[in-house]
Amino acid sequence: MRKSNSLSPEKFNAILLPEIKISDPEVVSVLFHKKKQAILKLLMRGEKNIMDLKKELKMNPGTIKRHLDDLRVKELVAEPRIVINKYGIKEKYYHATAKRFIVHVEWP
Amino acid sequence: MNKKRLQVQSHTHEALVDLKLSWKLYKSNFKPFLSAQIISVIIFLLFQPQPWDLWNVVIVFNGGDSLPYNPVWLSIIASIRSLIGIIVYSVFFGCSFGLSYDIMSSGNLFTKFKSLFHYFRRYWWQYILLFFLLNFGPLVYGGIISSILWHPIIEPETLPYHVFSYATINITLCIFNLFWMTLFIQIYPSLTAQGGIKQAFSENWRLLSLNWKRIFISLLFFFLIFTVPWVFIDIINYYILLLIIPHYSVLWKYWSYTLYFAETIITFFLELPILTLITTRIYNSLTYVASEVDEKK
Repeated sequence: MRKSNSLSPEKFNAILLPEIKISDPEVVSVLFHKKKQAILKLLMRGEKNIMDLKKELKMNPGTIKRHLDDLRVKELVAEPRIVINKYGIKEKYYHATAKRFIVHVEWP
Repeated sequence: MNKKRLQVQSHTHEALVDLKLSWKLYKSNFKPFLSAQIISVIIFLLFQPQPWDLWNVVIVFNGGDSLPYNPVWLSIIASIRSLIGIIVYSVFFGCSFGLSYDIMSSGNLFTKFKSLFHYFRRYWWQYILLFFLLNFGPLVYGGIISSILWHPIIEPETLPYHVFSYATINITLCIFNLFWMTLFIQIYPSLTAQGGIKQAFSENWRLLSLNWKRIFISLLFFFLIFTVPWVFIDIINYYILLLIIPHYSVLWKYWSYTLYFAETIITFFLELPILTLITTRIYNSLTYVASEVDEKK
């Protein structure tokens, strides 16, 4: 039921940017958070809703939601696509903003 | 004729989907619902007259038969307290609709216990109002039909009449409840979606005028599964106990308490959460078009 509502691989590839360069240390710290990375990795492969992520990561949906919100604020994850399935239930599908993230940080 | 039959078939199919889907979603989100129900039932019970209440203790110390002060005031206080318990319960009942909204309409497909307090703060007085509206009709009807049919004195020659009146009161009350609920239940999900009681009422009438069959059939299935069996068990129980086992015997008392306890547990922890999910699913299926929405939240 859910799989049919996520975007096809062709469409999915078309909406992802090839790469994004990150130079903001705050975004870098979010990107290097282990659990957020795990979520982002899955969202770079295809569109997923929170329940799909829960199944694959075995994490609490509330925690996943919190990580997704953090990733969205830093623009690592795009705004969700809202789908209403055939059962009349709203589903939010998330995806990464790019296929690759290049970190470039200079310090000090 | 065929068109009508097809319409009923489609509503029946939707009603079955309502039930299956609600059960599935309840299973995957039972913790917040159960927590809400447990808290509300505990608060409700705490506000009911207790054996350790001051006046009960005074009665015991006073020899068990008289009170040193006016018992009318005590019954007023007890009634007010019970009313507070019902009011608190009504808010938590409304909050369960908020939890269902989280699962079915927020897009996240899950809810958490914390959401309960969000809905509590936001809609508490609307939930009280709706709860009293939802129970007002059945309460008045129950009062009227009982005053007409019920005879307080049970005598051997009036036993068949008692069973008949008990059955009539319960069956007609159940039917009345179904119709009354069809009229008003969609206000709950509409309130969460619209954010205001006025809009919720007007949307409820709009939905009802266009889709009353869809709402009625779904609720009918819900009643057939969750309410009707209890009505008949109660009637059969009453019949057996009144005609076969002597009234108010110890066995009668314990058996009735056990049955009442089982009924209460199932009602609070299964029936009501599923009702909130079914209602929200009906609301969604009537208001959303099953297609992709372009707008992004």
